[in-house]
Amino acid sequence: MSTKPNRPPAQQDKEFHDQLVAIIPSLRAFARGLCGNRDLADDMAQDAMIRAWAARQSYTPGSNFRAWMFMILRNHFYTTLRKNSRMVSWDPEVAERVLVVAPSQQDGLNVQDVQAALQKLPPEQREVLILIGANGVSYEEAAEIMGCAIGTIKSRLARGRVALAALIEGPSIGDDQKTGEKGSRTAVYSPAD
Amino acid sequence: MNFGNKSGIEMNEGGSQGEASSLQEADAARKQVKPSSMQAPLSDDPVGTALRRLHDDVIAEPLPDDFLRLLGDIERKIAGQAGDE
Repeated sequence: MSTKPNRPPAQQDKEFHDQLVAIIPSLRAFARGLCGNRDLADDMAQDAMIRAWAARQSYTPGSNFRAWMFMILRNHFYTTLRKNSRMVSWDPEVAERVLVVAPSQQDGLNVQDVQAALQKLPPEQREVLILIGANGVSYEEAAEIMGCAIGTIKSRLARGRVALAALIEGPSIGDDQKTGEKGSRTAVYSPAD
Repeated sequence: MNFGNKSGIEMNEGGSQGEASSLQEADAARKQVKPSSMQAPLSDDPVGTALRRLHDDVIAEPLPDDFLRLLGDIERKIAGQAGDE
């Protein structure tokens, strides 16, 4: 791997550590968006940090650390999702329960409403909305993180944006599950790519 | 990988000191994070605004103790490694 033999390992580790410290806020935000749950997200972010530290030799110094870190986090997220069928983080019922907590506070859309609506989206759309819409990464970086083409990123973003807006503004949010549910679900789960 | 305190590495500095420096660095990092507003695709609509607020709310949170402990463990490992040379 790409170690630089001219520098002592402790110094490389210190540099790695500093990058790890700097990335934590963004990493937490990405994890929170993916999981929709603070504790779960923080556990996942810490797991990702531990994995990153264990795998630090495979990081090429000078390359995009955020993309590398986010890849570790999302791999961990999807692995956990597959392993643990009970962790269905975008379960609409869970999302609805989250909504109960949310009194509408400021002007604009309620953040909790958006968080809950995000959890109803297919994860590929959710993560592209979080990465680009919330975390502010570029199309190129999102494509690198998610391991897909930029065109795919753009189409997922477009579909996710429409679906999210429909969920937030549509009748299914905060309303009776049984009434608006069918129609909005059909719209949200459009065929992939 | 074990990040408990069982590593047996001799410590050159107190754990609390390491954690304090991590906190300062994390604070500095948080201040450096740009508000994620430079992206055109979702910039103007309410959904885009809400997404950014969601993100910025998390960024603004103080770092939970768990993270500081984790960083403290890493710092102790680095300190131990430096001591071995």
